Amino acid sequence: MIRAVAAGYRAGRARLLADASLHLRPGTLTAVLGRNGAGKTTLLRLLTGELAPDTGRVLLDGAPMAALPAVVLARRRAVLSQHHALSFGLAVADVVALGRLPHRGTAAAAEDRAALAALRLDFGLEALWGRAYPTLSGGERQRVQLARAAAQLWRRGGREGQALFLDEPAAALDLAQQGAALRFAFAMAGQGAAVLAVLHDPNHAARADQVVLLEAGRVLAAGPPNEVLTAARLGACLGVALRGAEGPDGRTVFLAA
Amino acid sequence: MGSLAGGGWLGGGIALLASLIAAAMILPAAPALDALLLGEREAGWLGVRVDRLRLRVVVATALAVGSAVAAAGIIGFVGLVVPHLLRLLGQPRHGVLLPGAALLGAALLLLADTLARGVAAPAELPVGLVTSALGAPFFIALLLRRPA
Repeated sequence: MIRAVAAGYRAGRARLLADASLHLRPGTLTAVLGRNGAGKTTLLRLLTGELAPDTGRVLLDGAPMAALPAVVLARRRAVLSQHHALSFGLAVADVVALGRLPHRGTAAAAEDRAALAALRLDFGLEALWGRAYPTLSGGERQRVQLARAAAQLWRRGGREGQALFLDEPAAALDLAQQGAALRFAFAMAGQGAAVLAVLHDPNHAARADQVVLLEAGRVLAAGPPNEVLTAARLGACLGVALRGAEGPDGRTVFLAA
Repeated sequence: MGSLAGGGWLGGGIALLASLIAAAMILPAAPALDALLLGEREAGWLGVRVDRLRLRVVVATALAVGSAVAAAGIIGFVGLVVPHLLRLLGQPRHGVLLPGAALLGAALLLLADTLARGVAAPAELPVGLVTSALGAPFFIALLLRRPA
């Protein structure tokens, strides 16, 4: 659905990403791993259509993505960044409702109320609904932001033709909250959306359908996790010594060596 | 220091017309301005053209402020204090905040002008002196409340 063909991007004289090719398929989750500064966020910004590549192409269903109107993109692609600050006290209900902004004036706007009512229950926000967002804890904010992304993509039926991007959804969260973010990402892929998540934990990435390893602005490897994720390759890419061990379900688990 | 004494119907009428045009430009953008509270990139991902929105806000603000200053001179602190006061009262949504700020700002100015005419009658204080005397302590309190 979203395809990068030899895409590159430079800021000033610094080449942030070079020659990146990958395909985000409907119904799959792609995990991106790499050190800080490896180009993960640049790749995400190209694939979301926020930036246009200055070499190569990024295509959504064959059309150059950055050339599409922002609101058209926003109706089928949601992005969750790591940045969850909000300077003024919008209520939780208002923040979630902002996810419906791109649908204003379309037929889908008739579903706004139904969407918000359903998401309020799905994300367990009943007790928080009227609270001011800045008074929430980190985990509660994460849940509200997930609900906002879900509101943006909410519709009856499947998720075909939709895309979801998560930039380090597990950063600075406790284990239970990381689980909630990942479950959401996998659920969206399970319903047919193309999902990309920038992750730090190779054991999270091992559950993805496709893994992309980035190093110094280049794609080191891309493919199914059982081919791409080896202890040696991960160690070189992430800069830490890792060893693989057989986990309880037979899958390889990566441990700090 | 500005004054409401010299405006007259013509000056007031022009300021009113300019303010109505500014309001017509900015009120439909209220939901997009709400999205901007999440951050510029987040607003962009929600389909907001942040560059165009910024231009629209700058032009509308220049129009409203320019015509008001042309009609009444420089009367400080009203525009600085009123929107923050409304936000503190729990109204960060621009659909409420923008018309609310217009009404509360007008009411505050009327109050200040009444005080300016009354306290030292028959002499008249500059209204900007009154708004500064009311607004400056409030603004300092606001800055102390939110350390940057």
